[in-house]
Amino acid sequence: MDYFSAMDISATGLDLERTRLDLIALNIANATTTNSNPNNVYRPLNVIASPKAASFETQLDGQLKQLPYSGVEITSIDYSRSEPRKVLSPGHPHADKDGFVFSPDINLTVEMLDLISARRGYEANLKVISAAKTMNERALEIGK
Amino acid sequence: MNSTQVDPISVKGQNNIESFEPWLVNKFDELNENITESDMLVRKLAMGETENLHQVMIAMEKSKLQFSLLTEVRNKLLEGYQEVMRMQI
Repeated sequence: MDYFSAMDISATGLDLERTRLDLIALNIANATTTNSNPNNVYRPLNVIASPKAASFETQLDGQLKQLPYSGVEITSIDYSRSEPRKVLSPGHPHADKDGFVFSPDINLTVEMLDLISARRGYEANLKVISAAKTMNERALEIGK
Repeated sequence: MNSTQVDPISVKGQNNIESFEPWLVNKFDELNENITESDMLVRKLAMGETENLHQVMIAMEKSKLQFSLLTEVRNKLLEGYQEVMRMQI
């Protein structure tokens, strides 16, 4: 654990929030896409994250003093399991033989909430980084 | 000061006390590497190959902090040297 560890941990948090933002952008951009086949409809994406275990080397190196985790890790980016929405619109070019058009089950309100949470999460990680930076800078002022 | 805890520089190679010089050289090498890495990241950013802005900023911040730390060490060393040079003989 060196004096940069807080920064490194928060950097992984920033990576995660950036990825969440990218996925929200994708979901919102594709919210109004349509398809005549429910299997080919755009499916919303979700990011799955879990704590990132510290490497064996660092665990061995620091033994007990070491932190068990070294940040957060994106384990996978997965498709949402929600069923596509089915809308009756016989005049639509994408309508199937019964007149139904399929579109992804994306709730813009939920996406907006996720967007706010991703943004706030990013800001929170940035706060930690700037706190770590300030603490290191203040430590350098010892003896001045 | 305890007699076994004399200045590490003067006992270089003796008493198994690690001397200060390799540490300093090592740290300067590390700093150099960090600065080179930041430089490379900024180049990548300019060429539009960067995935995340924050990685560039964090790398630069790290080099900056390490640079300030080593500057501080250098200042202390020089201070000590000047103190010795001012000594009346």
